[in-house]
Amino acid sequence: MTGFPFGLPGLAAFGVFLSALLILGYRARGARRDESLSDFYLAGRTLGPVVLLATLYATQYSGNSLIGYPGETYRIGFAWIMSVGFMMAIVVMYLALAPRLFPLAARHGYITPGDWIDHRYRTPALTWTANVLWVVAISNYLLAQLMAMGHVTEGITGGAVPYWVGVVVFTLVIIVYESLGGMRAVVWTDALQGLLLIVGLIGVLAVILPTPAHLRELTEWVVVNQPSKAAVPAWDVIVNWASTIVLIGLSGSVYPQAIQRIFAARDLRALKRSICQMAFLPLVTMVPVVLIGIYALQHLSGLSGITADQVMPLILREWTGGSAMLFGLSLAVLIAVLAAIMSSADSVLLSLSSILAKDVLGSTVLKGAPESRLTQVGKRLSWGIVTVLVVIAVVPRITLWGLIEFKMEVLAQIWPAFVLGLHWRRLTGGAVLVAMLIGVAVSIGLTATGHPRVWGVHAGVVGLAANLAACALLSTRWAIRLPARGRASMASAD
Amino acid sequence: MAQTPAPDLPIRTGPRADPGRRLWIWVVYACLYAASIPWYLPSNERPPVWFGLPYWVVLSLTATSAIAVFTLFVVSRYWSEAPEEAGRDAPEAR
Repeated sequence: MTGFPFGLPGLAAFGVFLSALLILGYRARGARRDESLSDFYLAGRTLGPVVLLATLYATQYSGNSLIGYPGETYRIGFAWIMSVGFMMAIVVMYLALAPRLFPLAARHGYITPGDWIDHRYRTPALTWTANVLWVVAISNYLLAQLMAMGHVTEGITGGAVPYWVGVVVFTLVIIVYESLGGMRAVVWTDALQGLLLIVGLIGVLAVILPTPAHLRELTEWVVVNQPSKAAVPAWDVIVNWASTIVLIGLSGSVYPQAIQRIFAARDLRALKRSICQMAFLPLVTMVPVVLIGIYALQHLSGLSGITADQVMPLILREWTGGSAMLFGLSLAVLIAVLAAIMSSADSVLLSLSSILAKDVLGSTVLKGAPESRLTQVGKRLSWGIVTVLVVIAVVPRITLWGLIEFKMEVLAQIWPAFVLGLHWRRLTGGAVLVAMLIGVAVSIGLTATGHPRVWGVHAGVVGLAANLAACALLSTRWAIRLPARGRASMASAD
Repeated sequence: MAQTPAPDLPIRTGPRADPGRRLWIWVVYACLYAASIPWYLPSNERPPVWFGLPYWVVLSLTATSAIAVFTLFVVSRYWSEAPEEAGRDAPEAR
Protein backbone atom coordinates (compact mmCIF):
# COMPACT_ATOMS: atom_id res chain seq x y z
CA MET A 1 0.00 0.00 0.00
CA THR A 2 1.99 2.98 -1.22
CA GLY A 3 1.14 6.31 -2.77
CA PHE A 4 -1.57 8.83 -2.18
CA PRO A 5 -4.72 6.90 -3.05
CA PHE A 6 -6.81 10.00 -3.77
CA GLY A 7 -4.65 11.36 -6.61
CA LEU A 8 -5.18 14.84 -8.01
CA PRO A 9 -8.83 15.15 -6.93
CA GLY A 10 -7.69 14.50 -3.38
CA LEU A 11 -4.95 17.09 -3.54
CA ALA A 12 -7.38 19.61 -5.01
CA ALA A 13 -9.90 18.92 -2.22
CA PHE A 14 -7.21 19.43 0.41
CA GLY A 15 -6.14 22.63 -1.32
CA VAL A 16 -9.70 23.95 -1.22
CA PHE A 17 -10.13 22.96 2.43
CA LEU A 18 -6.91 24.58 3.61
CA SER A 19 -7.56 27.69 1.49
CA ALA A 20 -11.03 28.01 3.02
CA LEU A 21 -9.48 27.96 6.50
CA LEU A 22 -7.01 30.69 5.57
CA ILE A 23 -9.73 32.82 3.97
CA LEU A 24 -11.86 32.49 7.09
CA GLY A 25 -8.85 33.56 9.16
CA TYR A 26 -8.37 36.60 6.95
CA ARG A 27 -12.06 37.52 7.15
CA ALA A 28 -11.94 37.12 10.93
CA ARG A 29 -9.07 39.60 11.05
CA GLY A 30 -11.28 42.10 9.24
CA ALA A 31 -14.03 41.59 11.81
CA ARG A 32 -11.87 42.49 14.81
CA ARG A 33 -13.00 45.50 16.83
CA ASP A 34 -9.84 46.37 18.72
CA GLU A 35 -6.59 44.89 20.00
CA SER A 36 -7.95 43.94 23.42
CA LEU A 37 -7.43 40.54 25.01
CA SER A 38 -11.19 40.04 25.10
CA ASP A 39 -11.51 40.63 21.37
CA PHE A 40 -8.61 38.38 20.38
CA TYR A 41 -9.09 35.53 22.86
CA LEU A 42 -12.89 35.59 23.33
CA ALA A 43 -14.09 37.12 20.04
CA GLY A 44 -15.35 40.12 22.02
CA ARG A 45 -17.83 37.84 23.91
CA THR A 46 -20.13 37.84 20.90
CA LEU A 47 -20.64 34.14 20.15
CA GLY A 48 -24.25 33.36 19.30
CA PRO A 49 -25.86 29.93 19.80
CA VAL A 50 -25.00 28.44 16.40
CA VAL A 51 -21.32 29.38 16.35
CA LEU A 52 -20.97 28.56 20.04
CA LEU A 53 -22.44 25.11 19.50
CA ALA A 54 -20.19 24.49 16.48
CA THR A 55 -17.04 25.48 18.32
CA LEU A 56 -17.91 23.56 21.49
CA TYR A 57 -18.59 20.51 19.33
CA ALA A 58 -15.49 20.75 17.13
CA THR A 59 -13.29 21.39 20.15
CA GLN A 60 -14.66 18.51 22.22
CA TYR A 61 -14.34 15.92 19.46
CA SER A 62 -10.73 15.62 18.33
CA GLY A 63 -9.08 13.36 15.80
CA ASN A 64 -9.04 10.72 18.50
CA SER A 65 -12.82 10.43 18.15
CA LEU A 66 -12.51 9.40 14.50
CA ILE A 67 -9.25 7.46 14.56
CA GLY A 68 -8.79 6.23 18.12
CA TYR A 69 -12.37 5.35 19.06
CA PRO A 70 -13.23 3.04 16.12
CA GLY A 71 -9.96 1.33 16.98
CA GLU A 72 -10.97 1.00 20.64
CA THR A 73 -14.28 -0.54 19.53
CA TYR A 74 -12.40 -2.94 17.28
CA ARG A 75 -10.30 -3.90 20.33
CA ILE A 76 -12.97 -4.31 23.03
CA GLY A 77 -16.26 -4.55 21.09
CA PHE A 78 -19.65 -3.10 21.95
CA ALA A 79 -18.46 -2.09 25.44
CA TRP A 80 -16.98 1.03 23.85
CA ILE A 81 -20.54 2.35 23.80
CA MET A 82 -19.32 3.76 27.13
CA SER A 83 -17.88 6.62 25.06
CA VAL A 84 -21.42 8.02 24.60
CA GLY A 85 -21.78 8.31 28.37
CA PHE A 86 -18.41 9.81 29.12
CA MET A 87 -18.63 12.40 26.34
CA MET A 88 -22.08 13.34 27.65
CA ALA A 89 -20.69 13.59 31.19
CA ILE A 90 -18.62 16.60 30.14
CA VAL A 91 -21.81 18.42 29.11
CA VAL A 92 -23.60 17.39 32.31
CA MET A 93 -20.72 18.74 34.39
CA TYR A 94 -21.04 22.12 32.66
CA LEU A 95 -24.23 22.46 34.72
CA ALA A 96 -22.14 22.48 37.88
CA LEU A 97 -20.15 25.49 36.75
CA ALA A 98 -21.68 27.44 33.85
CA PRO A 99 -24.75 28.92 35.63
CA ARG A 100 -22.57 30.63 38.24
CA LEU A 101 -19.43 31.19 36.21
CA PHE A 102 -20.97 32.88 33.17
CA PRO A 103 -22.43 35.90 35.03
CA LEU A 104 -19.22 36.27 37.04
CA ALA A 105 -17.12 36.20 33.87
CA ALA A 106 -19.36 38.74 32.18
CA ARG A 107 -19.29 41.08 35.14
CA HIS A 108 -15.59 40.87 35.93
CA GLY A 109 -14.23 40.41 32.42
CA TYR A 110 -12.47 37.07 32.88
CA ILE A 111 -10.27 36.09 29.95
CA THR A 112 -8.64 32.92 31.24
CA PRO A 113 -9.80 30.25 33.71
CA GLY A 114 -7.01 31.45 36.00
CA ASP A 115 -8.87 34.76 36.35
CA TRP A 116 -11.63 33.00 38.25
CA ILE A 117 -9.21 31.12 40.50
CA ASP A 118 -7.37 34.37 41.24
CA HIS A 119 -10.59 36.27 41.84
CA ARG A 120 -12.07 33.63 44.08
CA TYR A 121 -9.14 32.79 46.33
CA ARG A 122 -6.69 35.73 46.03
CA THR A 123 -3.89 33.23 46.58
CA PRO A 124 -1.14 33.73 43.99
CA ALA A 125 0.52 30.38 44.75
CA LEU A 126 -2.76 28.60 43.97
CA THR A 127 -3.33 30.52 40.73
CA TRP A 128 0.22 29.73 39.61
CA THR A 129 -0.13 26.05 40.48
CA ALA A 130 -3.44 25.74 38.63
CA ASN A 131 -1.97 27.50 35.60
CA VAL A 132 1.07 25.19 35.59
CA LEU A 133 -1.25 22.15 35.66
CA TRP A 134 -3.37 23.59 32.83
CA VAL A 135 -0.30 24.40 30.73
CA VAL A 136 1.24 20.95 31.25
CA ALA A 137 -2.02 19.19 30.46
CA ILE A 138 -2.96 21.13 27.34
CA SER A 139 0.59 21.32 25.99
CA ASN A 140 0.57 17.56 25.90
CA TYR A 141 -2.84 17.56 24.31
CA LEU A 142 -1.62 19.98 21.63
CA LEU A 143 1.48 17.90 21.02
CA ALA A 144 -0.71 14.82 20.58
CA GLN A 145 -2.82 16.64 17.98
CA LEU A 146 0.26 17.76 16.02
CA MET A 147 1.65 14.23 16.04
CA ALA A 148 -1.74 12.87 14.99
CA MET A 149 -1.72 15.17 11.93
CA GLY A 150 1.61 13.68 10.91
CA HIS A 151 0.53 10.09 11.53
CA VAL A 152 -2.72 10.49 9.58
CA THR A 153 -0.89 12.10 6.65
CA GLU A 154 1.77 9.41 6.58
CA GLY A 155 -0.70 6.56 7.12
CA ILE A 156 -3.21 7.55 4.48
CA THR A 157 -0.54 8.21 1.85
CA GLY A 158 1.25 4.98 2.59
CA GLY A 159 4.37 6.94 3.47
CA ALA A 160 4.44 8.90 0.18
CA VAL A 161 4.05 12.10 2.19
CA PRO A 162 6.41 11.93 5.20
CA TYR A 163 5.18 12.32 8.74
CA TRP A 164 7.07 15.59 9.29
CA VAL A 165 5.47 17.23 6.23
CA GLY A 166 2.03 16.55 7.67
CA VAL A 167 3.01 18.03 11.04
CA VAL A 168 4.61 21.15 9.55
CA VAL A 169 2.07 21.97 6.81
CA PHE A 170 -1.07 21.61 8.90
CA THR A 171 0.48 23.36 11.90
CA LEU A 172 1.50 26.24 9.67
CA VAL A 173 -2.05 26.66 8.39
CA ILE A 174 -3.39 26.66 11.96
CA ILE A 175 -0.94 29.22 13.28
CA VAL A 176 -1.49 31.54 10.29
CA TYR A 177 -5.29 31.69 10.55
CA GLU A 178 -5.14 31.87 14.33
CA SER A 179 -2.65 34.75 14.34
CA LEU A 180 -4.83 36.57 11.84
CA GLY A 181 -8.17 36.25 13.55
CA GLY A 182 -7.72 34.85 17.09
CA MET A 183 -10.84 33.30 18.60
CA ARG A 184 -13.04 34.53 15.73
CA ALA A 185 -10.90 32.64 13.22
CA VAL A 186 -10.89 29.58 15.45
CA VAL A 187 -14.66 29.45 15.92
CA TRP A 188 -15.43 30.17 12.26
CA THR A 189 -13.07 27.42 11.13
CA ASP A 190 -14.52 25.21 13.88
CA ALA A 191 -17.94 25.66 12.30
CA LEU A 192 -16.61 24.35 8.97
CA GLN A 193 -14.63 21.59 10.66
CA GLY A 194 -17.53 20.49 12.86
CA LEU A 195 -19.84 20.34 9.86
CA LEU A 196 -17.34 18.17 7.97
CA LEU A 197 -16.98 15.89 10.98
CA ILE A 198 -20.67 15.21 11.38
CA VAL A 199 -21.36 14.89 7.63
CA GLY A 200 -18.42 12.50 7.26
CA LEU A 201 -19.58 10.31 10.14
CA ILE A 202 -23.19 10.09 9.05
CA GLY A 203 -22.04 9.42 5.48
CA VAL A 204 -19.89 6.51 6.59
CA LEU A 205 -22.73 5.09 8.65
CA ALA A 206 -25.10 5.34 5.69
CA VAL A 207 -22.67 3.35 3.55
CA ILE A 208 -21.74 0.59 5.96
CA LEU A 209 -25.17 0.08 7.51
CA PRO A 210 -27.77 1.35 5.03
CA THR A 211 -30.70 -0.56 6.61
CA PRO A 212 -31.61 -1.98 10.04
CA ALA A 213 -31.30 -5.48 8.52
CA HIS A 214 -27.60 -4.83 7.84
CA LEU A 215 -27.10 -3.80 11.45
CA ARG A 216 -28.81 -6.94 12.72
CA GLU A 217 -26.76 -9.14 10.41
CA LEU A 218 -23.55 -7.48 11.57
CA THR A 219 -24.38 -7.83 15.27
CA GLU A 220 -25.34 -11.48 14.86
CA TRP A 221 -22.02 -12.10 13.10
CA VAL A 222 -20.18 -10.62 16.09
CA VAL A 223 -22.30 -12.63 18.56
CA VAL A 224 -21.39 -15.87 16.75
CA ASN A 225 -17.78 -15.20 15.73
CA GLN A 226 -16.45 -12.92 18.45
CA PRO A 227 -18.87 -13.49 21.34
CA SER A 228 -16.76 -11.80 24.01
CA LYS A 229 -17.12 -8.51 22.10
CA ALA A 230 -20.92 -8.66 22.18
CA ALA A 231 -21.40 -10.11 25.66
CA VAL A 232 -22.37 -8.07 28.72
CA PRO A 233 -18.99 -6.65 29.84
CA ALA A 234 -17.05 -8.32 32.62
CA TRP A 235 -16.79 -6.66 36.03
CA ASP A 236 -13.37 -5.10 35.40
CA VAL A 237 -14.74 -3.37 32.29
CA ILE A 238 -17.78 -2.18 34.26
CA VAL A 239 -15.57 -0.58 36.93
CA ASN A 240 -13.40 1.02 34.24
CA TRP A 241 -16.58 2.30 32.53
CA ALA A 242 -17.78 4.06 35.70
CA SER A 243 -14.31 5.41 36.46
CA THR A 244 -13.94 6.78 32.93
CA ILE A 245 -17.25 8.65 33.19
CA VAL A 246 -16.06 10.34 36.40
CA LEU A 247 -12.58 11.11 35.07
CA ILE A 248 -13.57 12.42 31.64
CA GLY A 249 -16.68 14.22 32.92
CA LEU A 250 -14.81 16.19 35.57
CA SER A 251 -11.55 16.84 33.75
CA GLY A 252 -13.21 17.55 30.38
CA SER A 253 -15.38 20.22 31.96
CA VAL A 254 -12.35 22.20 33.17
CA TYR A 255 -10.44 22.21 29.90
CA PRO A 256 -9.35 25.86 29.51
CA GLN A 257 -10.56 25.98 25.91
CA ALA A 258 -14.04 24.81 26.97
CA ILE A 259 -14.22 27.31 29.83
CA GLN A 260 -13.17 30.14 27.54
CA ARG A 261 -16.02 29.28 25.21
CA ILE A 262 -18.39 29.72 28.15
CA PHE A 263 -16.81 33.14 28.76
CA ALA A 264 -17.18 34.00 25.06
CA ALA A 265 -20.94 33.39 24.86
CA ARG A 266 -22.94 36.40 23.74
CA ASP A 267 -25.56 35.93 26.44
CA LEU A 268 -27.07 33.35 28.74
CA ARG A 269 -29.65 32.28 26.19
CA ALA A 270 -26.95 31.40 23.64
CA LEU A 271 -25.04 29.44 26.26
CA LYS A 272 -28.11 27.51 27.43
CA ARG A 273 -29.15 26.60 23.90
CA SER A 274 -25.67 25.38 23.05
CA ILE A 275 -25.41 23.23 26.17
CA CYS A 276 -28.84 21.70 25.50
CA GLN A 277 -27.84 20.73 21.97
CA MET A 278 -24.40 19.54 23.03
CA ALA A 279 -26.11 17.01 25.32
CA PHE A 280 -27.47 15.16 22.29
CA LEU A 281 -24.32 15.25 20.15
CA PRO A 282 -22.57 12.29 21.84
CA LEU A 283 -25.44 10.13 20.55
CA VAL A 284 -25.13 11.49 17.03
CA THR A 285 -21.33 11.27 17.01
CA MET A 286 -20.21 8.35 19.14
CA VAL A 287 -22.86 5.82 18.08
CA PRO A 288 -21.69 6.00 14.41
CA VAL A 289 -18.06 5.81 15.60
CA VAL A 290 -18.77 2.64 17.60
CA LEU A 291 -20.68 1.08 14.71
CA ILE A 292 -17.74 1.79 12.37
CA GLY A 293 -15.51 -0.14 14.79
CA ILE A 294 -18.01 -3.02 14.92
CA TYR A 295 -18.18 -3.05 11.10
CA ALA A 296 -14.38 -3.35 11.07
CA LEU A 297 -14.59 -6.45 13.28
CA GLN A 298 -16.35 -8.29 10.47
CA HIS A 299 -14.85 -6.49 7.52
CA LEU A 300 -11.21 -6.75 8.58
CA SER A 301 -11.54 -10.19 10.17
CA GLY A 302 -9.37 -11.77 7.48
CA LEU A 303 -6.41 -9.54 8.28
CA SER A 304 -4.10 -10.28 11.18
CA GLY A 305 -1.90 -8.03 13.27
CA ILE A 306 -4.01 -4.90 12.84
CA THR A 307 -3.43 -2.29 15.51
CA ALA A 308 -6.35 -0.23 16.75
CA ASP A 309 -5.17 2.98 15.08
CA GLN A 310 -5.04 1.32 11.65
CA VAL A 311 -8.72 0.44 11.53
CA MET A 312 -10.11 3.69 10.10
CA PRO A 313 -7.25 4.31 7.61
CA LEU A 314 -7.62 0.72 6.33
CA ILE A 315 -11.34 1.18 5.70
CA LEU A 316 -10.78 4.52 3.98
CA ARG A 317 -8.01 3.21 1.73
CA GLU A 318 -10.17 0.28 0.69
CA TRP A 319 -13.06 2.56 -0.27
CA THR A 320 -10.86 4.60 -2.58
CA GLY A 321 -10.91 1.65 -4.99
CA GLY A 322 -14.72 1.45 -4.94
CA SER A 323 -17.42 3.49 -6.65
CA ALA A 324 -17.18 7.25 -7.24
CA MET A 325 -19.51 7.79 -4.27
CA LEU A 326 -17.34 5.71 -1.95
CA PHE A 327 -14.24 7.48 -3.22
CA GLY A 328 -15.79 10.87 -2.52
CA LEU A 329 -17.00 9.79 0.88
CA SER A 330 -13.64 8.41 1.94
CA LEU A 331 -12.01 11.66 0.86
CA ALA A 332 -14.61 13.64 2.83
CA VAL A 333 -13.98 11.50 5.91
CA LEU A 334 -10.23 11.92 5.60
CA ILE A 335 -10.64 15.68 5.47
CA ALA A 336 -13.07 15.41 8.40
CA VAL A 337 -10.44 13.53 10.42
CA LEU A 338 -7.87 16.24 9.80
CA ALA A 339 -10.49 18.92 10.44
CA ALA A 340 -11.31 17.34 13.80
CA ILE A 341 -7.64 17.28 14.76
CA MET A 342 -7.05 20.85 13.59
CA SER A 343 -10.14 22.20 15.34
CA SER A 344 -8.95 20.81 18.67
CA ALA A 345 -5.36 21.92 18.11
CA ASP A 346 -6.27 25.53 17.27
CA SER A 347 -8.52 25.90 20.33
CA VAL A 348 -5.88 24.47 22.65
CA LEU A 349 -3.17 26.67 21.13
CA LEU A 350 -5.25 29.79 21.66
CA SER A 351 -5.93 28.88 25.30
CA LEU A 352 -2.28 28.12 25.90
CA SER A 353 -1.24 31.42 24.40
CA SER A 354 -3.78 33.34 26.52
CA ILE A 355 -2.64 31.70 29.77
CA LEU A 356 1.04 32.32 29.05
CA ALA A 357 0.56 35.90 27.79
CA LYS A 358 -1.96 37.14 30.33
CA ASP A 359 -1.57 35.01 33.45
CA VAL A 360 2.16 34.32 33.31
CA LEU A 361 3.84 37.25 31.54
CA GLY A 362 1.03 39.70 32.32
CA SER A 363 1.49 39.12 36.05
CA THR A 364 5.30 39.24 35.99
CA VAL A 365 7.55 40.85 33.38
CA LEU A 366 4.68 42.55 31.54
CA LYS A 367 2.74 43.60 34.63
CA GLY A 368 0.80 46.76 33.88
CA ALA A 369 1.36 46.51 30.12
CA PRO A 370 -1.58 47.62 27.94
CA GLU A 371 -3.84 44.90 26.57
CA SER A 372 -2.79 45.56 22.98
CA ARG A 373 0.79 44.77 23.99
CA LEU A 374 -0.28 41.52 25.72
CA THR A 375 -2.29 40.57 22.63
CA GLN A 376 0.74 41.09 20.40
CA VAL A 377 2.92 39.10 22.79
CA GLY A 378 0.30 36.35 22.82
CA LYS A 379 0.42 36.06 19.03
CA ARG A 380 4.20 35.76 19.09
CA LEU A 381 3.97 33.25 21.91
CA SER A 382 1.69 31.09 19.74
CA TRP A 383 4.41 30.94 17.08
CA GLY A 384 6.99 30.10 19.74
CA ILE A 385 4.81 27.38 21.28
CA VAL A 386 4.12 25.63 17.97
CA THR A 387 7.78 25.88 16.93
CA VAL A 388 8.88 24.09 20.08
CA LEU A 389 6.12 21.49 19.84
CA VAL A 390 6.72 20.85 16.14
CA VAL A 391 10.39 20.18 16.91
CA ILE A 392 9.39 17.78 19.67
CA ALA A 393 6.85 16.13 17.36
CA VAL A 394 9.23 15.59 14.44
CA VAL A 395 12.35 14.56 16.35
CA PRO A 396 11.82 10.87 16.92
CA ARG A 397 14.18 10.65 19.86
CA ILE A 398 12.06 13.04 21.88
CA THR A 399 8.73 11.64 22.89
CA LEU A 400 6.26 12.88 25.45
CA TRP A 401 3.63 10.26 24.74
CA GLY A 402 3.99 8.95 28.28
CA LEU A 403 3.07 12.34 29.70
CA ILE A 404 -0.09 12.43 27.64
CA GLU A 405 -1.35 9.62 29.82
CA PHE A 406 -1.30 12.08 32.71
CA LYS A 407 -3.43 14.68 30.93
CA MET A 408 -6.87 13.84 32.26
CA GLU A 409 -5.51 12.73 35.63
CA VAL A 410 -3.87 16.12 36.11
CA LEU A 411 -6.84 18.13 34.87
CA ALA A 412 -9.19 16.35 37.26
CA GLN A 413 -7.20 17.72 40.20
CA ILE A 414 -8.16 21.28 39.24
CA TRP A 415 -11.88 20.48 39.42
CA PRO A 416 -12.36 20.99 43.19
CA ALA A 417 -10.67 24.40 43.14
CA PHE A 418 -12.53 25.51 40.06
CA VAL A 419 -16.02 24.12 40.58
CA LEU A 420 -16.40 23.56 44.34
CA GLY A 421 -15.13 27.10 44.82
CA LEU A 422 -18.23 28.32 43.01
CA HIS A 423 -20.55 26.70 45.53
CA TRP A 424 -18.72 26.27 48.83
CA ARG A 425 -17.85 29.47 50.61
CA ARG A 426 -15.74 27.85 53.33
CA LEU A 427 -13.28 26.45 50.82
CA THR A 428 -10.01 28.30 51.37
CA GLY A 429 -7.17 28.97 48.96
CA GLY A 430 -4.61 27.29 51.18
CA ALA A 431 -6.71 24.17 51.62
CA VAL A 432 -7.40 23.92 47.90
CA LEU A 433 -3.72 24.33 47.03
CA VAL A 434 -2.55 21.65 49.45
CA ALA A 435 -5.37 19.31 48.36
CA MET A 436 -4.56 19.89 44.68
CA LEU A 437 -0.91 19.00 45.25
CA ILE A 438 -1.95 15.88 47.16
CA GLY A 439 -4.23 14.86 44.29
CA VAL A 440 -1.53 15.40 41.67
CA ALA A 441 1.05 13.50 43.77
CA VAL A 442 -1.30 10.54 44.23
CA SER A 443 -2.29 10.44 40.53
CA ILE A 444 1.20 10.77 39.11
CA GLY A 445 2.72 8.63 41.84
CA LEU A 446 0.36 5.74 41.15
CA THR A 447 0.82 5.99 37.37
CA ALA A 448 4.60 6.34 37.58
CA THR A 449 4.87 3.31 39.84
CA GLY A 450 2.97 1.14 37.39
CA HIS A 451 -0.51 1.47 38.88
CA PRO A 452 -2.46 3.53 36.34
CA ARG A 453 -5.57 1.83 37.70
CA VAL A 454 -6.36 0.64 41.23
CA TRP A 455 -8.94 -2.17 41.11
CA GLY A 456 -10.04 -0.77 37.76
CA VAL A 457 -10.35 2.82 38.99
CA HIS A 458 -8.14 5.41 37.25
CA ALA A 459 -5.25 6.83 39.24
CA GLY A 460 -6.69 10.29 38.53
CA VAL A 461 -9.98 9.34 40.22
CA VAL A 462 -8.13 7.98 43.26
CA GLY A 463 -6.13 11.23 43.35
CA LEU A 464 -9.36 13.21 43.06
CA ALA A 465 -10.86 11.35 46.03
CA ALA A 466 -7.77 12.25 48.07
CA ASN A 467 -8.00 15.83 46.78
CA LEU A 468 -11.66 16.18 47.80
CA ALA A 469 -11.07 14.62 51.22
CA ALA A 470 -8.17 17.01 51.81
CA CYS A 471 -10.28 19.98 50.69
CA ALA A 472 -13.00 19.06 53.18
CA LEU A 473 -10.66 18.40 56.08
CA LEU A 474 -8.36 21.36 55.54
CA SER A 475 -11.18 23.84 54.96
CA THR A 476 -13.33 22.78 57.90
CA ARG A 477 -11.18 21.27 60.65
CA TRP A 478 -7.94 23.18 60.20
CA ALA A 479 -8.95 26.03 57.90
CA ILE A 480 -5.50 26.38 56.33
CA ARG A 481 -4.69 29.86 55.12
CA LEU A 482 -1.87 31.06 52.92
CA PRO A 483 -0.71 34.65 52.40
CA ALA A 484 -3.40 36.21 50.23
CA ARG A 485 -3.20 39.18 47.94
CA GLY A 486 -5.81 41.48 49.45
CA ARG A 487 -8.90 40.07 51.05
CA ALA A 488 -9.77 36.51 50.14
CA SER A 489 -13.17 37.59 49.09
CA MET A 490 -14.96 38.16 45.87
CA ALA A 491 -16.64 41.18 47.41
CA SER A 492 -13.39 43.14 47.36
CA ALA A 493 -13.44 43.07 43.60
CA ASP A 494 -16.85 44.64 43.29
CA MET B 1 -6.21 28.08 63.30
CA ALA B 2 -8.94 30.61 62.72
CA GLN B 3 -11.65 30.07 60.18
CA THR B 4 -11.17 31.93 56.92
CA PRO B 5 -14.02 34.33 56.20
CA ALA B 6 -16.23 32.86 53.51
CA PRO B 7 -15.98 34.63 50.18
CA ASP B 8 -19.00 36.61 49.23
CA LEU B 9 -19.90 35.82 45.64
CA PRO B 10 -21.04 39.00 43.94
CA ILE B 11 -23.75 37.45 41.82
CA ARG B 12 -25.97 35.27 43.88
CA THR B 13 -27.59 32.42 42.11
CA GLY B 14 -29.93 30.38 44.20
CA PRO B 15 -31.62 27.19 43.05
CA ARG B 16 -33.86 29.11 40.64
CA ALA B 17 -30.93 30.37 38.57
CA ASP B 18 -28.50 27.55 39.21
CA PRO B 19 -29.61 23.94 38.67
CA GLY B 20 -26.29 22.83 40.13
CA ARG B 21 -27.58 23.75 43.59
CA ARG B 22 -30.45 21.26 43.51
CA LEU B 23 -29.37 17.97 45.05
CA TRP B 24 -32.21 15.96 43.53
CA ILE B 25 -30.98 16.80 40.02
CA TRP B 26 -27.61 15.20 40.75
CA VAL B 27 -29.35 12.20 42.32
CA VAL B 28 -31.35 11.70 39.11
CA TYR B 29 -28.15 11.99 37.03
CA ALA B 30 -26.47 9.39 39.27
CA CYS B 31 -29.41 6.99 38.84
CA LEU B 32 -29.46 7.46 35.05
CA TYR B 33 -25.72 6.92 34.81
CA ALA B 34 -26.02 3.82 36.99
CA ALA B 35 -28.66 2.54 34.56
CA SER B 36 -26.39 3.26 31.59
CA ILE B 37 -23.70 0.89 32.87
CA PRO B 38 -24.84 -2.76 32.59
CA TRP B 39 -23.54 -3.85 36.02
CA TYR B 40 -26.94 -5.23 36.94
CA LEU B 41 -27.24 -7.62 33.98
CA PRO B 42 -26.16 -11.26 33.94
CA SER B 43 -23.09 -12.03 31.87
CA ASN B 44 -24.06 -14.16 28.90
CA GLU B 45 -21.97 -15.07 25.91
CA ARG B 46 -24.83 -14.83 23.41
CA PRO B 47 -27.00 -11.88 24.33
CA PRO B 48 -30.39 -11.42 22.65
CA VAL B 49 -30.39 -8.90 19.79
CA TRP B 50 -32.83 -5.98 20.08
CA PHE B 51 -33.24 -3.48 17.23
CA GLY B 52 -30.07 -4.85 15.63
CA LEU B 53 -27.91 -4.43 18.75
CA PRO B 54 -27.10 -6.54 21.83
CA TYR B 55 -29.91 -5.91 24.30
CA TRP B 56 -27.61 -4.40 26.93
CA VAL B 57 -26.36 -1.84 24.40
CA VAL B 58 -29.97 -0.80 23.75
CA LEU B 59 -30.56 -0.45 27.50
CA SER B 60 -27.39 1.61 27.87
CA LEU B 61 -28.29 3.89 24.97
CA THR B 62 -31.81 4.33 26.35
CA ALA B 63 -30.35 5.51 29.65
CA THR B 64 -27.87 7.90 27.98
CA SER B 65 -30.67 9.25 25.79
CA ALA B 66 -32.63 9.87 28.99
CA ILE B 67 -29.63 11.80 30.36
CA ALA B 68 -29.67 14.06 27.28
CA VAL B 69 -33.43 14.63 27.57
CA PHE B 70 -33.13 15.26 31.31
CA THR B 71 -30.38 17.82 30.64
CA LEU B 72 -32.67 19.61 28.20
CA PHE B 73 -35.40 19.62 30.86
CA VAL B 74 -33.10 20.85 33.62
CA VAL B 75 -31.62 23.66 31.55
CA SER B 76 -35.01 24.78 30.29
CA ARG B 77 -36.84 24.53 33.60
CA TYR B 78 -34.29 25.29 36.32
CA TRP B 79 -31.69 27.60 34.77
CA SER B 80 -33.30 30.99 34.91
CA GLU B 81 -31.98 33.71 32.65
CA ALA B 82 -32.82 36.43 35.15
CA PRO B 83 -30.25 36.66 37.97
CA GLU B 84 -31.88 36.43 41.34
CA GLU B 85 -31.53 39.29 43.69
CA ALA B 86 -29.17 38.93 46.58
CA GLY B 87 -30.88 37.49 49.57
CA ARG B 88 -33.48 35.41 47.77
CA ASP B 89 -32.87 31.69 47.90
CA ALA B 90 -29.17 32.34 48.20
CA PRO B 91 -27.49 30.54 51.07
CA GLU B 92 -24.62 33.03 50.95
CA ALA B 93 -26.94 35.81 51.97
CA ARG B 94 -27.67 34.47 55.39
